[in-house]
Amino acid sequence: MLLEVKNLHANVAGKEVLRGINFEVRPGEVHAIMGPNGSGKSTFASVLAGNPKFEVTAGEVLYDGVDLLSLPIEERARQGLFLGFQYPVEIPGVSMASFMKAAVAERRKALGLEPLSSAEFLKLVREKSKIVELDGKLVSRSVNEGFSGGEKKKNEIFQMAMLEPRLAVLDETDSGLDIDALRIVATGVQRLRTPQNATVVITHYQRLLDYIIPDFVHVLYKGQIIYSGDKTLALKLEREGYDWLIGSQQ
Amino acid sequence: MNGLQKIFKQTALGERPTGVEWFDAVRHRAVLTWGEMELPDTKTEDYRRFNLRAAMESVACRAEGDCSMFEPLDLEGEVVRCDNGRVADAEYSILTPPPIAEYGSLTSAIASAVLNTALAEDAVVVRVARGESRKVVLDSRFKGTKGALAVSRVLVVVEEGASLELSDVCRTEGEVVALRCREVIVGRDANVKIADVVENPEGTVIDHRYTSQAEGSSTRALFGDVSRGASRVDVVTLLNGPHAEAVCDGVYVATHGVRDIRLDVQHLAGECQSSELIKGIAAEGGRGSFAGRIYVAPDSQKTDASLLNRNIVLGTDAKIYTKPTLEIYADDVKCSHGATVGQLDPEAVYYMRQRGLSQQAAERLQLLGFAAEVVERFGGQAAERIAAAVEHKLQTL
Repeated sequence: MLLEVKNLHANVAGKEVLRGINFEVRPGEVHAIMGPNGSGKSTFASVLAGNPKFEVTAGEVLYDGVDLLSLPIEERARQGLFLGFQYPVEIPGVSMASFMKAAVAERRKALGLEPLSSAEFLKLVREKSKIVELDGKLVSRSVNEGFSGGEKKKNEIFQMAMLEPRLAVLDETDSGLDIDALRIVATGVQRLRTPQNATVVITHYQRLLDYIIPDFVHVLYKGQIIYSGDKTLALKLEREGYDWLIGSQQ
Repeated sequence: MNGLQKIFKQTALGERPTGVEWFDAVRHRAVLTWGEMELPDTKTEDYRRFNLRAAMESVACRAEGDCSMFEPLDLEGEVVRCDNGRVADAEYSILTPPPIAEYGSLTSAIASAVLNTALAEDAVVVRVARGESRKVVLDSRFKGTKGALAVSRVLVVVEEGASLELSDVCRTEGEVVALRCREVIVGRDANVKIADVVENPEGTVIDHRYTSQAEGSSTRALFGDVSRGASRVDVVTLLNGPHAEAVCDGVYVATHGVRDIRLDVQHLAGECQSSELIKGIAAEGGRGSFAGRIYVAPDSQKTDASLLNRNIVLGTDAKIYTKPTLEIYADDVKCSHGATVGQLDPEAVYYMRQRGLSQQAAERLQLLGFAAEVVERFGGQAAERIAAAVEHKLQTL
C-alpha cells in the first residue's frame, strides 16, 4: 500500500473541515476525487502535503508504511509526495532553474543519488519541459511570475515530471485551463504514469478524466468520502450532478 | 582636544601639507567652511539614524594601517588601488600635476562631504576623455584600529560622449572609520555605469556619492552593502541638462548596526528621467533607514521620475525606517514614490518546502530573489559580486 488514510479529521481556524476520511492508494493507481465546492477536497490535499494552516485533530496517514503526519513538509516532498497547487505561488526574483535545481537535488539526495551536474540538469529540463510543451524560456524566469493561468498549471506538471514523485496529488489542475492546455496538461500527467507511482486527481469535471483515466472515483462531501466507484461514476456525476448522492446523506 | 580636532589642527595649520599648493588651498577653504558648521547629530538632522557627531567624536587619529592583506579583486578593468585614502599609482593621484579644475567644486551642504574635502590628503582622479570608453575598478581598502579615521576622495570626470564603467569596491579591516566622498561629473551625452560594493566586516563607512549630469547623459548605478558595521550613505544626483537619465538601485542587508541611506535626485532641467529602487533586508537587530527625495525644480517640465523603497524585516528585533518624498515645483510631470515594509511570504516558503527545500533554504532563496531584481537589472561582473556577497551574508543569518 502506498497511502493509507484512516479516519482523518482536520480543522481550519477551529472549524472541522475533514470529518473522518478513509482512503487507500496502491502503486500504479489513479484516483479521482470529486465533490461539490467546499466539501474539503483541497483541504485533504493540503493536509497530505502538510500545509501548516490546517490542524489534524484525529486519524492516521501512512505513506509507504511511514507515519506521514509526523514528517515536516519538505521531508514528505523528498520522500516523493508531490502536490500540484490549485493556485501556484508566484515567487518574484527566484528563477525556476535555481528553484528546481535545489528541489531536484533534495529529491535525489533522499533517493541516495548524487546531485546532477549543470549539463545533466539542463538536459533534464529540456526533456521534461517537452512533456507539457512548456516554453523553455519560462524556466529562466521567476517562479510563476507573469505566467498565464495555463502556463502556471503546465509548470506544476513540469515540476512533477522533474521530481518524479511516487504519489502526486493534483489539486484542480484543470481549473482555468482552455481546451488545448487541458489536453496538454492531462496528457502530460498520463505520460508520467508508471506501475510504481500513483496519482490522486482532484477535479470538478469529467473532461479531465477523458485523458487521465482513473481506476477509482470518489465523492467527497462534508469532509467524508461518501461514495466510491469506477470511472463510470464520473460520467454519471457529469450527467446527474451530486443531488442523488447528497440526498441520500440528508 | 579630541582626536578630530587634532586632525583638523594639523590640516588647518598646514602641519601635514601635501605639498601641492592648489590642493592644500582647496582643503584650507573647506576647513574654513567646516569651522562655520556644526557637527550634526540625529537630533539636528532630519530622519537620520546614524549619528555623525558620535562617529566623528570617536575618532582618535588617522588610520595608518597596512592594507596589503586584501585579496586582489577579480574584476575586469584598470585597477586603481587606494589604501586608507592614499592612491597607490601616481598616474591616478590628484597630487600629480597639472591641477584639476573640477576638484573642489562640490559645494554641497552635506557635512560629511565638507569634512572629507577638508581632511583628504590625496584623491583618485579618473578622467575619461571625449569620446573615449573605459572600464575602471577602484580597489578602496581601509584598515585601522578603533578610533582610526581614513579619508578617501575620488573625482571622476567623464567628458562629452565618453563612457565609463566603474566598479568601486570598499573593503575594511578592523574598526576603522572610512570617510569617503566621490564626485562624478558626467558630460553631455556621456554614459556612466557605477557599481558600489561595501564589504566591510566591522568598520564604519560614511560615504557621499555625488553625480552631476549634463544634457543627454545617462547614468546607471547600483550599490550593495552587506557590511556588519554601520554605514551612512548620501547619494546625490543632479540632472542639470535636458534629456538626462539616471537610474540608481541598491540593496543592503542590515545586521547589528545601522544602514542609513539618503538619496536625493534633483531634476534641475526638463525632460529628464530618473528611477530609483532600493531594497533593504534587516535582521538580527539590524536597522535600515531610508530617506529619499525627488526634487523637481520650477520649469523642469516633462520630468519622469520614480522612487521606490522595498524592505523585508526578519525577526522581532530588526527595524526598518523609510520616508520617500516628492518635492515638485513644475506642473507637467510624472512622478511616483512608494515604500513597502513586509516579511517573507509564508505561502512562497510553503510552496518551496512542498518541493523539498528546507524552511531555511526556502527563506534564503526568497530573500535572494528579493535582492535579485536590482542586481539583474544592472548586470555584469560587479553585480554578480554584489549578488554573491548578499548570498554569503544571508547564509550567516
